[in-house]
Amino acid sequence: MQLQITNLMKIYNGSITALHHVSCSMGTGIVGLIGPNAAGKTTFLKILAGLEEPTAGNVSFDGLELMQNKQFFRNIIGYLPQEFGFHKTMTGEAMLDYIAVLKGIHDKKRRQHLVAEAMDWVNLSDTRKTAIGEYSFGMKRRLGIAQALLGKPRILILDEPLEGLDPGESTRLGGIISEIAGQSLVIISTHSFSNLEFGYQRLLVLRQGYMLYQGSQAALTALAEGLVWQVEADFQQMEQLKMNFKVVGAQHQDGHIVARVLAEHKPCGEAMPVKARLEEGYLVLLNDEVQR
Amino acid sequence: MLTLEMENIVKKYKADSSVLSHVSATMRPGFFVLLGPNGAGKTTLLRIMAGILRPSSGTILFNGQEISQNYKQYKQNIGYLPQEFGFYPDMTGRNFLHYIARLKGIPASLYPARVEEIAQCIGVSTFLDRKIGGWSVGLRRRLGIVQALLADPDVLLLDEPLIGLDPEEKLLLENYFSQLATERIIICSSNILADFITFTDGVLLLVNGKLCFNGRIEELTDVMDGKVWLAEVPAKLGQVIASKWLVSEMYTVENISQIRIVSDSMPDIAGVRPTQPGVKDAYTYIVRRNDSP
Repeated sequence: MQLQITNLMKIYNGSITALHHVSCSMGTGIVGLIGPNAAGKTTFLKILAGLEEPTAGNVSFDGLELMQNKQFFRNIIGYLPQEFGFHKTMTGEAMLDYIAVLKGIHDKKRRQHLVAEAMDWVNLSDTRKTAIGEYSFGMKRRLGIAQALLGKPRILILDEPLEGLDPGESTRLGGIISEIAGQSLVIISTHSFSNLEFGYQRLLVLRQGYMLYQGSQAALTALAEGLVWQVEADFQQMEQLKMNFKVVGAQHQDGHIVARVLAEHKPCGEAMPVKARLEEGYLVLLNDEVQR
Repeated sequence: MLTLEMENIVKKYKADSSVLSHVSATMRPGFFVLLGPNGAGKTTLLRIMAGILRPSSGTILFNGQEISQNYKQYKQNIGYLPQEFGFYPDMTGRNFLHYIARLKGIPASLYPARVEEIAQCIGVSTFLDRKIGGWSVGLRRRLGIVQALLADPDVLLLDEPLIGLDPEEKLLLENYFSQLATERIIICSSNILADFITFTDGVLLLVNGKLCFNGRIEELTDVMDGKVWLAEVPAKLGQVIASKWLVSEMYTVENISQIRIVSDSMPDIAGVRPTQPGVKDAYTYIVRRNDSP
């Protein structure tokens, strides 16, 4: 399968350009759409999900064009928006059933089966008869994923699905997503990286409506190779470091802080060069120049 | 002296389970993180501290006085930002903030300038005259933070303020909170350890309604000696290990996974060796230990 996006443009109110001539293509697996907030990620995903019309450009799946085949696309896409609302008094099961009806699954038995399947995938079977008002934040997020998963869509579009989840929930959800990506195209947008990462088939970087990068995880990571240093410091040294260099991550260890710093040359005496991570390659791309 | 005390706070919705069990702590000026997994009771505790939810038992004291004696007066001294905050999409940011300012009783001669000032610090002033419906999620969250700051409160209670913010936005806010905290009590909840880590004055770790730790972040590792292990294995084996053992961090690059395992005894994995415990290891360990009711 191949999703082809050509010269996508979106202009709001005649003057605000959310997307500038974005083009890319993707197949099965996990595609990461990264970028700072207001980069146009949500706009891009909404267009792919058929919820917004582009101002120009087109989207096609295995040769079929989105705008002319809306119903077909609706049937093969599962979409989870950034903010998903539920009726508090509905049970999880009832909510999914309702959405299944909206998706055009009219056969009651088939619906029941698909709803049970989806809830099982996200581990909500035990609470399917509980009112959503009593669900925790993480559970609501999983319910949102479940509705997107109904009927095993060929294209799964998730807008910041891990945002707000704690590390345990993130890991569990990450596992579910990785499984689905075996047979579908999963597009996930995010603005930051966690330590337990997906094996992205492809990465797309958006900023202010422009696609800055599309390519492999390895190539993006490589942008930071030779530029990442590990420094052990106390609080005061940290403040100094933060003023002169880009500090990428910091961890408390044994009474001091271990920080990762982006710099062209050794930032200070005690710094040790370390292998670059994806997050750092992304930062190098965003910050055109790295501080000396 | 500015103090906010929680004395034996208990909250139950059903007779047999507690959302909060005997939470006690005394807060003084500074920046504190209320840390814990989702469902630990962080939002419930913040709402009780904000005076909008009554505890089943226990008291909250502000500067030595029970807030239950005069909630209205207490609330004038605090700023609160809930996790899910609603806006009227057709209002502009400015109109919304002016509205909130009036609700908070800020005089009309003062609030326009105040709104502009805080909006500038938080980086949303260029958007103020656009309808909120068109703002991105990250910007809306920042708008929520502005409203909490309007009345210049002594106490700021922010429920997961960083959710949805990208790294640049987080940094901007963290720097701003750092400045504010010198004269105020600021408590931000989070489920991510990395948030606020470099400047927090203290961490309150809530797991399953119990306050498992209250102190400086470096002290978290005090009990962890001999409980943290490092292994470097092929990625596929890494997945297996992550499902069998308690892993505080796993980093995979080019099919090799570096894994930090937290365990009372040495795991039977080839090549595993003991390592210095870090805060994240301690956090992972304490959360798992208190996870079941």
